[in-house]
Amino acid sequence: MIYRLRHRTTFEYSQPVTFVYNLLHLKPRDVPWQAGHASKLTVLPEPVVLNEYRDYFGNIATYCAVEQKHEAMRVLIESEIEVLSRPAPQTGGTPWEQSQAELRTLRGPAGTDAFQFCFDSPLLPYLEETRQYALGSCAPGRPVHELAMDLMQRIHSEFEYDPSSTTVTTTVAEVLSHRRGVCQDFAHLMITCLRSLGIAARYISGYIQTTPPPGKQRLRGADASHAWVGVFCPRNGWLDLDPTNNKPANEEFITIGWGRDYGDVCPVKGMLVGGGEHKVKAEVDMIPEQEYLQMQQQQQ
Amino acid sequence: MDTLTKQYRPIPGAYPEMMHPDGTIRPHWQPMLNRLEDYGRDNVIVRWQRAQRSIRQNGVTYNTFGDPGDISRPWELDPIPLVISPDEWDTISTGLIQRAHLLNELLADLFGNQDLLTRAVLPPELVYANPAFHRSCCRISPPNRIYIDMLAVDLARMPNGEWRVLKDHTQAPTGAGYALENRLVVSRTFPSMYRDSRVQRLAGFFAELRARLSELSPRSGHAPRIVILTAGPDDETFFEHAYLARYLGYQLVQVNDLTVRQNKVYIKTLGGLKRVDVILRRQADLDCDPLAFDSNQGIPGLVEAAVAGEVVIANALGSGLAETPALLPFLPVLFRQLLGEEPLLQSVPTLWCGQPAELQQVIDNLDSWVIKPAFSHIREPAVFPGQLSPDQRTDLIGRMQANPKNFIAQESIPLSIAPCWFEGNLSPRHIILRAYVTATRNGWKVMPGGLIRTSIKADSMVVAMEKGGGSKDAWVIAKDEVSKISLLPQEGSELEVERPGETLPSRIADNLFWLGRYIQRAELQSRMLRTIMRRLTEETLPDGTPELSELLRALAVMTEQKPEACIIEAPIANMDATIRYIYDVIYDSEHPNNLYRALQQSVRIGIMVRDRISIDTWRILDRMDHQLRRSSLDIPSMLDELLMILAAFSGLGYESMTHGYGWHFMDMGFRMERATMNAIFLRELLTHPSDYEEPVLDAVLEIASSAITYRTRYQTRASILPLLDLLLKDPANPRGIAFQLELIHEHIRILSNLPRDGQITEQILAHDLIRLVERFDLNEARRMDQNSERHILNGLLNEIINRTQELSNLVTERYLAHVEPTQQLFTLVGGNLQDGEGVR
Repeated sequence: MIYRLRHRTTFEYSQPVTFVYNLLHLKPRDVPWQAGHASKLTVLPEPVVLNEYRDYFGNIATYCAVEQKHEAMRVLIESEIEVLSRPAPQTGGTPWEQSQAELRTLRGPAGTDAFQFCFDSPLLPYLEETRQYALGSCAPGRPVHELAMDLMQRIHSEFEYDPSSTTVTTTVAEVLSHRRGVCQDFAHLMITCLRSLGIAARYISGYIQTTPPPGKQRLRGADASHAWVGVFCPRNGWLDLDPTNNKPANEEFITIGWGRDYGDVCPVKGMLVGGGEHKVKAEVDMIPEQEYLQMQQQQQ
Repeated sequence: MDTLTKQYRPIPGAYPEMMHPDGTIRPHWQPMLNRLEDYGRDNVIVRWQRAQRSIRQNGVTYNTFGDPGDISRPWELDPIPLVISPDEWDTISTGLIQRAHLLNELLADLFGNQDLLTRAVLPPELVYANPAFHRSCCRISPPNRIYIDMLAVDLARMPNGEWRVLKDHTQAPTGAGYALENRLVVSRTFPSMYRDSRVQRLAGFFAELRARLSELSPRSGHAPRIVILTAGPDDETFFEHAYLARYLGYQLVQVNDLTVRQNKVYIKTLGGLKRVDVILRRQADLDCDPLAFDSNQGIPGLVEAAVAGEVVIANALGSGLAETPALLPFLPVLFRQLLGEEPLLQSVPTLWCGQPAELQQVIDNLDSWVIKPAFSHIREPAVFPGQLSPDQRTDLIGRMQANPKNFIAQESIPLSIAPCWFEGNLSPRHIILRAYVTATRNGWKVMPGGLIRTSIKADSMVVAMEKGGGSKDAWVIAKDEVSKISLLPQEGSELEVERPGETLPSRIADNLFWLGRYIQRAELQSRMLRTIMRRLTEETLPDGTPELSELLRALAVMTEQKPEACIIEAPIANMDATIRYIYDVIYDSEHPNNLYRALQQSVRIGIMVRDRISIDTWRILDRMDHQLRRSSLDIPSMLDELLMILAAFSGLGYESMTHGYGWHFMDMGFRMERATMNAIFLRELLTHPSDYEEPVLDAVLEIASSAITYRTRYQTRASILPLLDLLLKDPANPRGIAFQLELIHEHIRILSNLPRDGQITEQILAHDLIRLVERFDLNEARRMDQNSERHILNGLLNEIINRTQELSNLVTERYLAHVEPTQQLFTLVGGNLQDGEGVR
């Protein structure tokens, strides 16, 4: 499936701002089941410094600095991305109790790379409550991927999707006690659960395709950034699961990048110099190529 | 010195530094002890008392600034140096150099391709579960792969005489400046003892360090600008940052003084932006760049500038990783793997509890270990299990088993002992030595000496300055002649003239400007309050004090309260309510703009610019702080005393501060506040004439401190025209508005020497303001306002208030605008995207 992706973020300030320093994670990284055909990043006002690099996790990161007086900053990424189907989750595999021990025996860059996702990260400290919650999925000898699927299913059914309930600073403990949140919260919760069992889990940032209600037109900007979870199964590799929608990631998911938590792959992180309030607005359109071409034709 | 050493008894089980186990003095101590004896006990006592006084006096400027109320905690120094023989020092130095090399290679690997992890030499937890491993630092490649430009190592001596490493400091090692200060004090106090002991000098080390930092500069062909980055006066070693900055001749800056423009780092000064080439940082990795690290502090873009090679930071960002205590047990293997050598200097036997067998080994024999945090971010004290109660012990074991990777165990060794001067005698104390290594073009160099820290008591192994332990100088004896190196410019070398003040950080100028404003605000509010209190408490006229309500209303406007907040019907009759109201204006800490706030802000800013104001001025601020905390019920005496203190501050500010740009900003703030506040209270009290104008006029003269001038000049009762002339138009009255405007104009004229564009705007504005007041014809205004509200006067005063504000904004914008705070922008993921609010 080929998608046209358009993600526009607008920052509006109550007072003009001159200096803004940004770290962007907006361009899709290459993964075996995904290929970016074209990706165009536009930042307005024009940055004086723009530097694209691979970060520690292999994501495409962009640093840019704006140094002129402005009242609003716009960051627009337009990508054309092809997503292939992925192999179905393997059956069998490492019992969860042995996950960390097996991970430890894996050598070489791939093994050590996975191992780093076992530990606390800046936004996700160890929580005894999440361990207790996770133990509900821990039948003895259960393979890691089965455990993870069960955990995903439980979070999906026991937690309410509620955009009004959370902000960027909501903690996993709050999500757990209020039983509600958004995709980022569910991903963070599931990661914390898995890590508390010694299983490596990472945070994946990207997008998911939405379908307009039957008979209705697709609304502009109605899509959103999305987040889900990568679980490492020592014998089978990474398995990507989406607790918000209770399904493994498939062709409907575009992967931008991953890290230990949201902080590592925040789509737009900025520091601005100056006082005043600011407002953030984001619009995302993730449109299948065919539909996109039809829309183009209709417009002409 | 027989009498002194004879009574000295070593502590059994600990290595005695000064003597052999049989009680004879070690030969390398002898020359120092001989000279000490020559001075004689009484003389030593007298000399040392004098030295301590000088430490205390310096200490007032050079001290830990943690608590503003505590300004005189002296640096604890012992007069008896630790003496180290040349051969022994050679052994230590070689080991330290090898260790510096190793730690540097360790960082190069972990920030590079991580062979140590993929080949399983190190447990991955030590890196991946370690908050000191900052992934964004992997992109930085420091010049010649030197991550550690300066290393400090804590050494302890085992009972068998062998020196062992307790801890490494690779991020921002502290203490070298204290070592230097100790050397200066001891050598000045006991000059012949110092001279005759052939002590190796420390200056050479600092010369090497300075040469090193200059070499790091990314711009060849330019004289490099090197700054020391400090976390600020709250940092416990701020003394040392300021001290080293002065000694090495570098500017001391804080994060807000620096900015990144086009990937280059600049210091924000009054003279504009000045490029910075090298940063010697005393700031933790985490607090250096909020964009790259998980922190709100720092200079956004600094990591990018370092990645681009436009600035060099020493030690390299990320180097704090190498001081992780849990690495200690693995160093012997690393010596072999990375250097192919055996370690010359061993660590104190250390186990990392993150390994099951090691954890068991520690728990099985708990009392023989000291339990410490495994990672630097865990700020918990060392635990001596032998000293714990059974409950505490169970608790400790429980915590270790729950989270074994967070603990290390170090073998509990008796630290060696050295003689300390205690009540006229030598008394044994345990010691550790902090030694320093710097990178140079020709390899690593060790400081011949170091900082000795001593235990509080003879029977305590706790050696920590913050716990009240002391310090000592360390004397490394020279094999041959002592070479003399001084950091002072050599004779004949050219003196580089710096125009003073132009490089003053804008932050300091901004602080001084506001210090001036708050001091003046406090003064005027105090005067107003005193006038009101007098009318409340002193004997009143038969018809009461009709002006009191007016004064209370003016006070409310000056403290920016809503008018209804202060309306007290018949203030004398409702004395209790009135006093309560006044008490709040003075002491209510929640009040947005009262006397408490003005004083609190003055003290707060005073702390921030402490290294820029004189000791005496600082003492005055300290007294102000005490007034603030006392909440005296005797308001009139409190106000009298406070006004004395404020007057002393203004006087000293004028007399004892260099009249450089910093002073001009402070006085300009002072003058702008006085002009504005005077205009406000004249407007509030004089533009609505009433039947009881005369008592109001008396009060105005009292508040403006011009009553005596008025009476000697006019010898009549107060009346509006002469009063206005005195307070508004007379350029010779230092309390009047015209006088303030003249001075503001003068300050602005001097600031125009700074290299900025468009400064003519505020000069014209300041000049117009003077003319506006000059041309104001009191008699004509009086005629036009006959028998009505004084609209024309009101208009003039409002004009003065608004234009002074405009002037203040212009000056701030021109010289200080880049001193703005930073805030974070975030996008949300999921949910609230359509109209998400940014989180500040």
